[in-house]
Parts: sequence; structure tokens; C-alpha cells
Amino acid sequence: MNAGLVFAAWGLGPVPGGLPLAVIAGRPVTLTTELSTEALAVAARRRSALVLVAGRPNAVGPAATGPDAVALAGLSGTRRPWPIVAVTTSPWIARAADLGLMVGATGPADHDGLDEAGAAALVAAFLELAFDGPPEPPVSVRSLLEIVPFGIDRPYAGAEVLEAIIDGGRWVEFDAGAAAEVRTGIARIEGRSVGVAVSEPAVGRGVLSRAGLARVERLVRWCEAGPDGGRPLVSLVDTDGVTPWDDAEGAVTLRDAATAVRRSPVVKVAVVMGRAVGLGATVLAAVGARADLVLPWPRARFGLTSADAAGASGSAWSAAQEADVVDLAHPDDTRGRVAEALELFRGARCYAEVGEEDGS
Amino acid sequence: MGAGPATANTWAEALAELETRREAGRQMGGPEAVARLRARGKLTPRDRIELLFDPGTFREVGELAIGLIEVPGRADREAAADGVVTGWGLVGGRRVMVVADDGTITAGARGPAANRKAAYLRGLAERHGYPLVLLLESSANRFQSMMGAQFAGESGAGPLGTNPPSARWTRDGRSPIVCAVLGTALGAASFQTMDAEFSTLAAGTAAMALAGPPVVQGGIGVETTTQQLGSGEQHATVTGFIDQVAEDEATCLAGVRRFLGLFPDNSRELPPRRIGGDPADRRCPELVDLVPLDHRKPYDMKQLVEAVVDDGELLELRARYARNIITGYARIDGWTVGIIANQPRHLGGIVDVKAVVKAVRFAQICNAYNIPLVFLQDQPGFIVGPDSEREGALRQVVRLMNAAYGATVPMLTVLVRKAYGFSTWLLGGRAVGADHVVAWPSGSISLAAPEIGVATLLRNELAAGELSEARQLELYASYRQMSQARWAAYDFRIDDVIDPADTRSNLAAALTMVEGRRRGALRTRREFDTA
Repeated sequence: MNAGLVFAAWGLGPVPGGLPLAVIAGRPVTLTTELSTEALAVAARRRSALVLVAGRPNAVGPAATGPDAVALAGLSGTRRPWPIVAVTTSPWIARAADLGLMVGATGPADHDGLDEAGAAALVAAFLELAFDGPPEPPVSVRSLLEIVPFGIDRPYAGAEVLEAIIDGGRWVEFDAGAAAEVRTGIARIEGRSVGVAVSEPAVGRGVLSRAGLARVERLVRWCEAGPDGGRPLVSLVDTDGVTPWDDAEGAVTLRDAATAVRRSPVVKVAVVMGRAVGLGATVLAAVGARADLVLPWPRARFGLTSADAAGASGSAWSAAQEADVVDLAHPDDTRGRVAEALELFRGARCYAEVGEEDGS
Repeated sequence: MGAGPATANTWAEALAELETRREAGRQMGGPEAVARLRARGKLTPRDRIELLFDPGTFREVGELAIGLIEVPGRADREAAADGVVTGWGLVGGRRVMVVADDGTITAGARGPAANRKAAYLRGLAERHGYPLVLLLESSANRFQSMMGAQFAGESGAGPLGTNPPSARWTRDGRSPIVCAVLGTALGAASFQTMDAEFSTLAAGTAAMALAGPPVVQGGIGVETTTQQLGSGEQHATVTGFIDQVAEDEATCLAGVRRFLGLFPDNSRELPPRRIGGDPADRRCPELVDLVPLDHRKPYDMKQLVEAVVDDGELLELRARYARNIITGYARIDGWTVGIIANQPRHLGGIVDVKAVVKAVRFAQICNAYNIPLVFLQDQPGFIVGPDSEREGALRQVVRLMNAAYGATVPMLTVLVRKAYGFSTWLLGGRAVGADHVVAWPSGSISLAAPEIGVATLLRNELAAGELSEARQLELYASYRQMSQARWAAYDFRIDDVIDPADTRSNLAAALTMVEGRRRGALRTRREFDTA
């Protein structure tokens, strides 16, 4: 691993004679100081990650114009098997990298204010977690029963739950610092690269703001851009709905986010830690989002409104009784159950070549 | 157990309640109902699941569901797991989904939660490409929950968080559905079985019909029993609707395991290849003694098939229906193949209406699931005459033609003896695009048998008595000579004439040859007719 190479081109002009390659976390990475059609083609051919290094942090990078701008416009929202990582403040490149990671000093970046070493480490971690890898155990933690109080109104840190169930407790966050009621990013569970969204019930009971909806929507697009039918989306849900708006734009944002999640073809596994209320629950794949598995904890509550969720029929027990959900999980079984589901939803494999009869 | 809201206030209480409720969900209809069921020679859904899956691999979901049985004038009762056991497990190391009706609760009828569970499993199977096994006891909705205008149907809302369309009746599925009829399958259960990729029924304790005795009595005033309406015997010999009618439930479930071992998980994949101890180049010298050269002498084609396939194992389908044709799955050199073979022991192996019905559906299923077809021909042609015309022979001939010309899976054909008439083309002939056609030296290919040829071409001379018997025999011999398969090989209308002892190795080599094409032609959806 040689993350330093990424930044070797930092601040230089266009690399003469083509695109240098580096290996970060075992993955080939294409470096470029500016985005061009050729750079995209090379990255696609090598099926490598494309790292855009445009300008120093705090400096304005070269703005894409002419053919580059066209290439960028065509790139936004397209599906590709390789992530784009931008280290930039260029708005054009920022837009192209919206399925990847932006590290910058100002503007709409995933992570701000990092020094070069910090940025290098972040890019390396991102490129590692963006692909499947060998399974790793979670870091040793307390029982989730100690992290999450049973009382539905008592706060806890959602990210702590997330870190307890993912491989090595490691994840890279998208849009860090934005809309703290929900946090999104990438992680691995039993070696499988997944997109993760986790409610923070301590922040306004996890009620999703407009910025929160945008975070989730971006995560869904990241998942869809993954190879072989996309990366799975794992959500840890405890939300009391969405912020009410009195303008049409807010309603449209909400509709778009809910539709994006509902219609997304990626595998969706939702763990309901606490409340799953209204369209907030839909955006987090817990209700009416065509999830492959919805797995509530016994403290979970469902409802169209907060009041519904607080009523007798809002309990997870009631949902399980009606088979609206197919099971409840012990919180400490969460990692195992999610991993089992990811394995199940990987789909049937091709068994075309099997050796001696295996005892059927 | 309580159907009301849980009152737990701490994790400890909640988790204890979770275990209590799970345990309650596993109790089925209670010990007495279980004993009553077993006394009738039947198994509980959990017994059946144990027989179906590899030990210790079943993962249940939906055991926390509870149904409510409401009958006017009686106290309401709770239905554990709402009368259906659902989940997944491994069969021969491969994942399979299951929905098992519970005969200890309202005779296996389902409540709304049970339907949601079944729809969820079906949706998962379709979306992720796993086979779905339905262990059918009744699968009808509980009468009380369907009486009145609620029968108009559920609204579009599906189970929370799952895929609503999965609850629809659809034929677009890409994963096989296997139905084991282990109780009285009426209505929905019988419809499902008619569309299944593989079906089995436990004779004696199970039956399948469109409607049961009370409805028949009420509808047309005829008193009858479920066994009279749709016994295993009837489906084995008269309707041919069930692939395997077995003597008991354990045999049914063994059949399901065997079928799943031979079949791919879904229509986008190849069946698993399993190379056992039977060498691909094993010679079969005994075949020469099995098949008499005299075309009129019968022999058992099944013995020939068993000699050729791996370890002599043929999973024969609808064995007692249209016995003049054999259909079934087997392996050759580890590859799953679908065998279609004429059976000279019955009606001389003639291709009649029932034989076509049986062969067409089988060929369609093989085609939908990327399973190569192996034809073993010894047949005098389509049956003719007023009876078969009235039976609609023409329609069936054209159905066979459509199935044969439409097939994209590899077709390999061995002409064992007689190969007469248009049916020769349709059962794996070069005309329909067969990949590999070989004949034994005993093979004889022609539009018609010599006797029929003479009778047609020289009918005026025959009627006028101008053909002596000696001359007739001379003509027959001449036609017979002209029909020898080697002539077809000389101008490459067939691939080769082979030593019967090499039949197995020849087919094995051909299967290897066509494997690449199969990978390129994986189906995206199943397309076949109802049983």
C-alpha cells in the first residue's frame, strides 16, 4: 500500500505521457490531475478506482471546460463498477465524484480540514471498504443491550451500534458533519462491502431533515453504482419521521428520496432499533420500501405517525404477530443475522462444477 | 402466550418473552392435534421439514406470527405461526426455500398472516433465484376469513417491507417451484401444483382436485369423496398431473430432494454437475443382448436408459401415465439431462396423444432450465386412426412441433431401432436442430415402415391381387435395406453409426461438446405449459 503516490501529483499540472497507476489497499488506482474522457476510459478498462487530484486543498483546481465538461456531465449518475475519489474543490469534479468520496477543505466535501496524511489515510480506507475483502471480526465491544436502553425515549449513539456490528468497527462516512440525525457511509460486514445508514436518535429523535434525506439518497446511488447488481444497503433505523415542510420543494425532496429507496433494486436489509415512523421509515428502508429483510429489535415501534407508533398496535410484537415482519432479533444477534441475510441475498450461485456427491 | 401487546419493560423481560413466543409458535396445534394427525399416518410440517433439509440447516422465519380462529358460537382460538411453517435450509448443500402447511391447525387452512409469510418466501425465492418447496396440506384460506365481500381480495398493500407483487399469481418466475401434495390439495394448492416444475403426492393420505366433496355436493348434488375426486391412483394413471405418486410422505420428500439435486437453482444457471464414480467411457456391452433386431419384438427401454446413465439412476416422471414414452432426469458424465425415450414394451412405443402431452411439457421444462435433452428413439410413428383424430392428435402433433423447433437447449439423439414417420424428426431429429444424432446398426429410418410404404404406394396393385406374397416380401426387404441408418450416415444426414456398447461414452463426449453453447444461452424466464 502506498497512499503517498496519490498525492504525488498534487499540485502538479497534467501528468505528461498518460495516467500513472498506484496500488492502494490492493486495488489499482488511476491518478489524474484533471478529468478527461481518456482518463475515464483508462480507469474503466482497468476496472480501477479513479482518483481525481485537482489542485491543493484550499486552492481552486482546474475547472473542467469543453470536452471535459461534457465527459463529466455524462458521468453524473451513471453506473460504473469503480468508484471515483476526488480530492478537490472544483465544483465540476465534485459533481462527478458524487458516487465517491470528496476530500476537500471547503465546499460540499465528505471530509474537510484534513492534512495530507489524514486525507491519504482516508482515501486508502475508502478504497479498501468500497470492495469486498476478507471477513474481519468486529472490534470487541460491550453487549448492545448496554449501549441501547430499552426505554424507547432514552437516547443512545446510533454510530456506536453500527461500529459494533461491522468488520473491525471501521467505516468511512459520506457527507461527514452534515445532517447529524442520520449518518451514512461504507463498511464491510463479514467481508461484504455495504452501504450503511444509521439513525442518531439522540439528534432530534432521528427525524430526517432535508439534508438527511439527501444523505440517504446519495448513499442509495452509491449502492446502485456497485458491481453485480449493486452493493447491499444496510440501515439501522430509529427515526420519528421527517421534518414537516410547508413548501412544495420539501415535499418533492421527500418524495424523491422515498422513491429512490423504494425503487432501488439493491439488496436492502433494515434493522429497526427503535422507532420506524412515517416516510422517515420508508427512506431508511424499514417500511414499504420493498426491503429484503426488516429485522426489528423487541423495543421497536412502527407507525404512520408518532402517535400510531406509541399505541398498542405499533409494537414490534404486533407486527411480528401479523407477519408484517417475519422475525424479531436479539440486538446481540444483529451482526450475525445481517451477515446471514447478506449471504442469502447474494443469490443462488452457479454450481456447474461440483466434485464428488456432497451427501444429498 | 398472549396475543395482546407485550408488557416487557426491560431487555431481560423482552428477550424472555421473545423465547416464550418462539416456543409457542413451534407448538403447532398442540400435542393432541399432533397425535391425531400422526394417527392418520401423516407427518407434521416440522417432521416434513426435517426430512427435506440437510440436518440442522433449517432457519425458520415467521414463527412469531399468530392467527385468530373465529367460528360463530365457539370461543376464539389462536393459531400458532398462523398455521404455516416458513423458512429456508440446505438440500444437498444448496439453499432452498420452504412453505409448509400445518395440518394440526384448521386442517392446514391459512390465515392472513400465513399468506403474508408464504408471499414473503415466494418473493425471496423469485428475487434471489432459489427453488421454493411447497409442502401442501390444504393451503386454502380459512373459510371464515374469506366469507363475505372480503373475498374481493386484498388491496395492493403487501406485507410490510416486502415486495407486494410477490403475492400475485405469476408465471414469470425464474426459480423452480416444487409441490409436495401431502394432504387434500384443493383450489389454490391444486392450481400451484399444476404449474410446478416438479410435483409429488402421497398416495392414500393425499388427494388433489379442483373442488372438494362439500362444494361438489352443493354445486351439482353428487356425493363423493376426495379420493374419488383426485386420488393418487387417478393422477398416476388417468390425468398424469403428478410427476411422482409415492406410497408415503417420506418417499415424496426423498423424491423432492432427488429432483432438487438434479435441477438448477433457477433458469439463469446450469444444473449442478456432479461427477461420481461412474466413468464416462464405461462400455455397455449388455445392450446388444437387450435389444432384439426384430423390430416387432419388444424390450424394456427403461433398462437401456439405466444402462447408459450414471449409476443407473433415472428419476422417472409420470411413470404410469402414457407408458409408451419414458420421461425423466438422469446424469451422464455428471451433467443433468432430460431423457425422452420410446418404450416398445407398451403399444410398441407408438407416439400417441398422451405421449405427446407428456413429452411436450417435459421438453419445455428442460428447455426453460438449460437441461439438454437426450432422445432414445424406437418408434413406429404417430398413432393414426379415427380414435386419435377425435382425441385431437393434430393439436398435439403441432404442439410437439412448436416445442421441438422452439427448443434452444442441446438435443442429442440415439436411433436405437425404428425411427419412422414425422415423429422421428420431432423427437430429436436433425430437422429440428438436434446437435448430435447417432444410430445403432439396428437403426432404421424412413417416412414409414416398409409394410405401410408398400400398402400406400402399391395400393391399386394390392387391391387387384397383382402382388404375390413373395413379391411383397421382396419389396419389404428392399425398403428395409434402403432404410438402414448407415445410408443416412454416408451422406451425413446423421452424425454416425455407433456400437451400442459405446452409447454412453458417445453421449458423454457430445455433452462436453455442447456445454459452451449452453452457457451462452441461459434462459431468462421459464416458458412452459401447465401440467
